[in-house]
This record gives sequence, structure tokens and C-alpha cells, in this order.
Amino acid sequence: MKSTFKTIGRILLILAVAVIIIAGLSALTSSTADVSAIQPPAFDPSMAGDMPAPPDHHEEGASALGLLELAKNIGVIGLIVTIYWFGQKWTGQMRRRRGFAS
Amino acid sequence: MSNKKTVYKIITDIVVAVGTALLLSAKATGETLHEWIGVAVLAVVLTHLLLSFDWFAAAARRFFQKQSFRVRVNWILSVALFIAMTAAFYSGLVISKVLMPALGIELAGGISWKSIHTIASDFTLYLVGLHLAVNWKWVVKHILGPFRRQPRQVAENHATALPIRQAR
Repeated sequence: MKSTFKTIGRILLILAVAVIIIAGLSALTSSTADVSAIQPPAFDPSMAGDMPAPPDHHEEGASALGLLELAKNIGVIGLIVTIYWFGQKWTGQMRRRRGFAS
Repeated sequence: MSNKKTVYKIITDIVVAVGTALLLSAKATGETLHEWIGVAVLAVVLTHLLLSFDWFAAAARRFFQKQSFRVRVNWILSVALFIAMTAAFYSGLVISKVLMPALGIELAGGISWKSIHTIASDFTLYLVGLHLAVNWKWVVKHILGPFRRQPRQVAENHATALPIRQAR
């Protein structure tokens, strides 16, 4: 029973922090919306002519491009992990060398 | 840490890792699946946070006391990841085209929310990489550990290889 209340308390705490972040974001978007409302000119459909519709980047279903994006994301994460580990190994070696030198 | 908790952590970590990789590749899943995976991952991320709450609270309490640099960096990264993920999840719900309309909720998502979603997702990708890198020892020990060849097995292989050499 005690642990249930503890878990509920923790969930509420996480949600409260999330709400603060969301409130900050909402304030940010409302302030940028005020600025963007002034800047862009009104769209005139007659000026567009036979312009092709912009491509929808979220088409349904998996595509070769989507799989490429997945591979890229996994590659980026793998690269960060590899760089971190080589960096840590390198700094460890440098520290050891300094220890031997002194 | 109890064994049960470790098992739960391993399961949630794998689901969060796979889910995040899929979420960050929206073109691979399509919009409908992207949004549903988002909601599922949100629930699993909350579980991950609850399971890591004790560590997080202890690291926060000792933040300005004598503590290793790695723990401090890990704590800051966790906070940054939480902010980035919260921004990505909420902006995703605001610009939702399938999930929220299906629930009968109409939110006024604009270009700014789309930009926030893109920026927060990019940050999440880099922060997930760093979070994984900092906790790589834990991942190797608990997740990749069972798949690694044990020293005992290696010794056994040597023992079986010995008579063959002697026979030659």
C-alpha cells in the first residue's frame, strides 16, 4: 500500500515537471505566433498557378527512404557510443601516462 | 537492486531503445503507426523513469557533494533527455493528425509546434546516444552479457580441444 502511494507520488512529480516544461513551450510558441502573424504575406491561390503540391513527408507505410532514415539514426547513436568509448579510453591512457611520468 | 527490478529495467530499456529508434524514423513506419508507437513508448518511458527514480533522486541529493564526474554528467544528460522527450511527445500530440482527432480532440498545432517537434526529436536522438554511451557498462553487463561467451565456456572449449591436439 505504501509503495503504491510512493509510485503514485512519483508519477505525479514526473507529470508536474512535464507540465512545467509544456507550459514553457506553450509560452514560447504563443510568443513566436505573435511575431509570425505579422511576417508572412497572405497566400494568393491565383499566384500559385500549376505549382505542384509540396511532398508529404509522412506518407503511409514503410519506404526505402524510411529504412534509410532508420539506419541513419541507429548509425548516429552507434557513432556517439563509439566516440564516447574511444574518448574515455584515450583519456584513461593519458591519465595513466601522466601517472607514470610523475 | 532486486533481480525482478533488473529484469523489468532490461525489458523497458530494450523497448525504449527500439521504440525510440522507430519513432525517430517516422518515414519508415508511416504516420499512423508513428503516433501509436509514440503513445506506447511514452508509457514505457514513464516506467523507465519510475524504475530509475531512486538513482535519480540519490544523484540529485549528492549533486554538489563529493561524487564522480560521470554520475554528474549522467544526471544532467537524464534531465536534458527528459526535457527533450517531453517536448517531442507533447508537440507530437499537438500536431497529431490521426490519434488526437480519433479521440475527438482538436488541438491547434501550427508551424511552431512542428518546428519544436523536429528540434526536440533531433536533440532526443543525440541525447539517447549519449545516455546509452554513459550507461554502456550497464547495458553490456545486463543486456548484452547473457549473449557473450562466458570464460567458463571458453575453458571448456579449450579442454575439449586439448585431446584433439594430443591425438595429433
